[in-house]
Amino acid sequence: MTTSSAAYAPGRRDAAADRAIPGVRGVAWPLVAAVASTCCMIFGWNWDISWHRSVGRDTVWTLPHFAVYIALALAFAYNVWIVLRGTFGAGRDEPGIRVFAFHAPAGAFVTLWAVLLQFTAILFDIWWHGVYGLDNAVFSPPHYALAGALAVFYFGQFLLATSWRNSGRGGSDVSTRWVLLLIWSFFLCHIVMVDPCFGPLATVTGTYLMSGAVVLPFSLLLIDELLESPWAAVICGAVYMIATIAQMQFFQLFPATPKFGPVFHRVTHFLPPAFPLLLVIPAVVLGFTARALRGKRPGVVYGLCGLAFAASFLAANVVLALILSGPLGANRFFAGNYPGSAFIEGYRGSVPLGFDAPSAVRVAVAAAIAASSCWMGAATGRWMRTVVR
Amino acid sequence: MRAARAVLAFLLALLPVGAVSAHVGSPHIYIEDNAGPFPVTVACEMPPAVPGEATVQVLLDDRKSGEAVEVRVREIPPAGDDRAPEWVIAKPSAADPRFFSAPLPLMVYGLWHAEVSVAGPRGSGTIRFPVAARVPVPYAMSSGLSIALALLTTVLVASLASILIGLGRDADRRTGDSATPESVRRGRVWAFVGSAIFLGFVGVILYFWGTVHAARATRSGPSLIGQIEADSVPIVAGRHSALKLSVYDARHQPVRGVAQDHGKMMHLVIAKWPGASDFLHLHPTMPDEGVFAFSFTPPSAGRYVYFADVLLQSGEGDTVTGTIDVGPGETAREMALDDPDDSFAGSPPMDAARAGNSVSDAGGGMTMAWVDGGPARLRPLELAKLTFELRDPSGRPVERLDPYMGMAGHMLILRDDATMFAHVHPTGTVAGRMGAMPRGHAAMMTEPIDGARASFPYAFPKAGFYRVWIQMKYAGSIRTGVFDVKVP
Repeated sequence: MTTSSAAYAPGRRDAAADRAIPGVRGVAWPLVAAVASTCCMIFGWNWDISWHRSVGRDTVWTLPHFAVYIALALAFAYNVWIVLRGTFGAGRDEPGIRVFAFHAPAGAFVTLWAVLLQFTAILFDIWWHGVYGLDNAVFSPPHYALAGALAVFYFGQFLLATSWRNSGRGGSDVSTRWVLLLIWSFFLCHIVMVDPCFGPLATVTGTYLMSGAVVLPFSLLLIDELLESPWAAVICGAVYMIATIAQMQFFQLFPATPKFGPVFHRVTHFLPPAFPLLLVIPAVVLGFTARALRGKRPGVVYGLCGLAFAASFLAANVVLALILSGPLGANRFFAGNYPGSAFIEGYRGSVPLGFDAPSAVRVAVAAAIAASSCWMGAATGRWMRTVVR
Repeated sequence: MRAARAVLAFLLALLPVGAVSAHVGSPHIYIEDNAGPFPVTVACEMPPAVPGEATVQVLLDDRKSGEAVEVRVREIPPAGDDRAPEWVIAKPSAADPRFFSAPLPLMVYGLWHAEVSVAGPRGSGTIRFPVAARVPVPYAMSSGLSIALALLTTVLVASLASILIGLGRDADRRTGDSATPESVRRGRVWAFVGSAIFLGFVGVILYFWGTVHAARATRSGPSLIGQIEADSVPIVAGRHSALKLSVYDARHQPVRGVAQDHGKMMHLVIAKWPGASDFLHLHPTMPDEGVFAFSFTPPSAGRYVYFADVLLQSGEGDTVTGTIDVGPGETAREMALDDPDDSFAGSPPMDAARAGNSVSDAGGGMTMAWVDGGPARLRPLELAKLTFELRDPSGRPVERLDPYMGMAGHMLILRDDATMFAHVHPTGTVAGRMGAMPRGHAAMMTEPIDGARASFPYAFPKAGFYRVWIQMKYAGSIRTGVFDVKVP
């Protein structure tokens, strides 16, 4: 990892920094709202998936959808406030960008754009269900739009927190660091989707390895570079794991009655999300590999980082799959083959990687993808250190 | 080629509502039966799409005030009884204690069954009926929503470009610094690339939508297809023709596993079109698998439409539709009918000016009357018991009816645009609930039926102008009453 950056100047404050937005002790309240909004969103998202698997029935007004709507409403409200304040109020002289006739930090505009895209996708989704039926497919055109909008939703609030931290408006160094770590952890929760219906072996397939190589190295190195610490991604990975495990245990406390046909299994309580990936392992390997290679040619750095990621991610997934598909996983905590019928029926022929030539090719392709992803993540992280508007 | 088809399908989906023709048939289910000691009338309103949620309404005809009863409903998925979910307790209506309702989720295509269980102090009982969850015709997006989504997408593209210009140009610019030519160029590049990526994303969604729509539209047509063949071509008026109706499944293979419905392999209704003046209710034989033979002596030249009800051993029924073109010939002297239960009735064409008649000529001086409210007060999707009475030449109700194919009467309904056809029995709209099905059916009647009336539980699916044929059997001959009705 190269960490040289002329633009990065810790402690340097922008001229407008002294007029910080009144906030909670140590951190501006909009950043608290950003953490609350992203946390509420990931909770609603996981609850909704659990609802689909346990109850089956889904309408616009199910409870998990309300959690999503609350997250959207909160993000909409505080970002509109930021835009109005930046255009007409005390924030006119603060750093920001101009979009049409409005002036505000870019992160606020990006977040509002994501909310508008989400609203558009919801309109499309409601119509879709009237024509093509209620949900029985995760991958439908309106759901693509919803998922895409949500990724931007997290990124917009992350960008806002970054610009405020860099311009000294968000609060103390420690508190804004934690705001960024938490939002990025929730972003990881959103992008790391393990469809439980594929079963525990899904994570050791070539497809999963390659798709993971697209987004995970990018996400892990971005936060490392932004916060200039190899531990940043490790913390995000740990928070992602803890948050997922907490939701796993929480959902199982509540009774659920299957209502729709495809929920053929007998469940008495909400099914938990799949056990999280052991993301701390590739995060540690990737972070410290990048640090050890500092100063080398970029091609060498990112090539080896890609290889390190592919190897460590695969190793972590193999360990996870062994635990989940074995007797150790058949319990409430790991929820591997538990409750058995709920998962076995949905397996869709996941073929794990093996010790053969096609598997080796898939791992090599994944390493190449990961190298590109590492380069993009590090470059984006370095650029974000300079963002003040 | 596939991409072009998908795009074409998507563009068709954007046409205003109404450009896509409605499917033939009446999707909702109405049943009159006994659940143990409880006479019940059940209405099952089907969802507009599958997966979707049907609504089951149960009317306990003779529930006494204060009588404690529990009505439960459950759906049996196509995979079988052992996959059925728990019973759902139906909610009683606050307005009428005889009414109960419960949701009936249908999550996959195929032949489901529904069970309605009633329990109370006088006993308990369960009725079961098939519910075919079929692929509906996808309907087009309304122009209002199309315009709204197009506008929102335009706003999204424009605002994204504006945000990216600002982000690329100014994100790292300190207060007091000016934008450099390089940062201005960077903003423009970001805006161009970002907008292109977003439009590509929209394109992927539209393409995906097109493929889903095309797949659904392909599967939404009738699952069975009919093809008429004649021994003498052309078919001309007044001359007897031996016709064969070959019925194919979706893979264009002769349909297999045809079951008897009321003792017949097929119920075929043929009506002159337009106007539905000549009406034949025939019962072809099945000399070969999927091939149905019948005699047809067209009363006059022109086009005829046919609706052929086929019941499969799985319990699912389907209606095969098509047309028969008849060339000019002579006036038919004698109508050739193969089966004793075949019938023919001629009447004036449908005329909106004469709609609402409550009495019809039934031949031989007899009349048929629409009683208990008659054709008035009909509303779309409002369940009613349509009751008809056969009267002798003196105007008195006949004392008894002969069973006509195992029951007191048959009702056939055709909308004036031929977009809806229904074949209803006193037990309801479900085919095969008498005689053929292993469970949940009543016995075929064989003895004379006291009284002159037959009633049919039914709700018209939508407003419109309909012709209703009522057929009863008296003294060995089939009597057909014809009623034209406007449903507002």
